[in-house]
Amino acid sequence: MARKALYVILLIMLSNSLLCQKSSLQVDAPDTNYFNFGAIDPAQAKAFRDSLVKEYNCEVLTGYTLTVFNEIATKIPLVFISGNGQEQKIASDSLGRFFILFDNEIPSSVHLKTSDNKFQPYDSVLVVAKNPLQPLTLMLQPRYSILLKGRVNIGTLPAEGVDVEIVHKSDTFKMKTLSCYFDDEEYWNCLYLGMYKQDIYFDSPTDTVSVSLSKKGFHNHNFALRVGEYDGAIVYSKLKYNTYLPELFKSDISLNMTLPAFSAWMLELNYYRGIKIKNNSRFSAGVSGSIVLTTVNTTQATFRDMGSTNDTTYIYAGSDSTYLTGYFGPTVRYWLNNPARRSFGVYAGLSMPYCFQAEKIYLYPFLGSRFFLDQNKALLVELKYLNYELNVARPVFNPYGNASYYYKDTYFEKLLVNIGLQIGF
Amino acid sequence: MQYQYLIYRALFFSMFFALTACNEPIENSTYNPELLFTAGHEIIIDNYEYTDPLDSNIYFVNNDSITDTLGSMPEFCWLDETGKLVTVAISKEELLVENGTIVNAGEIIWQWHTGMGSQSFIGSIGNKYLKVSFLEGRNVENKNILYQTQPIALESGLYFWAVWGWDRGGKRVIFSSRQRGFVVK
Repeated sequence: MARKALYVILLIMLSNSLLCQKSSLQVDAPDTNYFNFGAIDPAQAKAFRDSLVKEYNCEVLTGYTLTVFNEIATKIPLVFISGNGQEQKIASDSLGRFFILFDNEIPSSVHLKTSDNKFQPYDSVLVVAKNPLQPLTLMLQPRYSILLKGRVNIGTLPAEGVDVEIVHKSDTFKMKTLSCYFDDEEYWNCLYLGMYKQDIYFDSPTDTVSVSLSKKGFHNHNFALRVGEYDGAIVYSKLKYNTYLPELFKSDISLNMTLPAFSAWMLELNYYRGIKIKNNSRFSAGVSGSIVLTTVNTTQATFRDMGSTNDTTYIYAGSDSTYLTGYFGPTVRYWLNNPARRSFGVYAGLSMPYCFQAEKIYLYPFLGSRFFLDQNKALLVELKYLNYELNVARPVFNPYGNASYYYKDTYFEKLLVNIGLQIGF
Repeated sequence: MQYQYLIYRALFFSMFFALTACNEPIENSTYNPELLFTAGHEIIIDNYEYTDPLDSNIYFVNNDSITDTLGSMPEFCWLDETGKLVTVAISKEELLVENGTIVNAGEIIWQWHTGMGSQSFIGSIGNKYLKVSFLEGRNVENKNILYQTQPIALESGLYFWAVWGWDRGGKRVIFSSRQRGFVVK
């Protein structure tokens, strides 16, 4: 802050020095009759002027911007209108001080005006007290103000980058909600994620401020409030998704797996790329890799059951074996309704994977539906028909040790319900 | 760019799974060289005594490596921690196991299995034991169990006995005792 203040002072000094001609001036000696005004220390005011006179070596009129509540008003842009009607822009610094340089004698009155939004407009001719020369004091009338703060959510999460437009009378303020950022201590700060704020200055508490929130893919959200009724709390707003996606993504990737209630478990990874045929963008083609775990129960006759009256009754032993098969191959998909619809999309398709174990290509049709979780992530529920062969090991009981096996190709048909997560990009 | 990287990675893993997948059942085993079937959990045979049904004498089976002297219709008892399928056999020669099966099964002269029925009782410290009398089993000739005839008492000589059991599916021998020698006088 101190550095910024110094830069402002140096900038003002540089611009004023161009107008200033060097001349010898008598420096006023400290005087006990020097002005004495509440918030301003007379000695500091005198020192300020003395330093300027020494620096520019010309006539200097200093001044202070104050509020009617006797507080220092800082960084107020001012316009000095000279006797010939020429306007010169000046500004008070971070201590509320300003100065005007004169080539010749300081006039008996100066015309100053300001139009800072925080204060009532000020336009007045001030009489300069010369014996001794005293600083000018501009008494500004503050306007009412509120700091309007809001946070925008999408679902339960704060939303960054939402366009915010705040309109108050003829003033329009545009901004975006904040993102996370690295703060001064190099921490990743998400405290203000999805927030916006704006100072509103007004004269009447019955003024209305309207806020408009907009983001691509969401319904616009508008609300208004009376400034006098705003209590300073954060205004929470929630954006609702549009019925349709703002734009259809070109590709998507999905990971599906079978619900655990089924006798086979499938883990499937799909990649699709949209294919636009004329104006129809419902076709997609891609590749699919999957593994299928099949549980096969095998039962075998073991020892004879002597407890039974039937001589051919045996004790049967059964157990489950798990077989893993892998598939990889092309797949096509067609959307039965508008794929840009967020709430419920229906699709059908056909996979043509090559099975590495059976060394065959199979045809697996599927029918699914999609529910979007946000703009590009969706939940899939898919019904998939599988038919495949496994070389199942069938045991033959050995009363003197481990069973021997013979292998038999066994055909399986499965209708699986898979759930999955899709990411579009 | 991040998405593309994820896609390549996912495709690589799916290819890896597909190529490395095999359709062999998964097995696990333990190893104990002192057991008849070394890849099995031990069937514990504690000290016990029995009354021989032929001569009504009481014989002791000791849990040590010393050859016991038993009657001609011995009784067998072990801690019942085995599964549903278990068998006990008497052989004239020490049984040899290679690749998970007894290679000289022709030496077996008497056998009992769970299809023949047995008695179980609870021991003094709450353990459940399975007890099989000689008459509950059957003689074996050339690996054939003679189900239709009552077992013939053992003649004098050196014999060996052991217990082994299978997993739930009857595929692998996963329980086994040590092979015990005994003498019939």
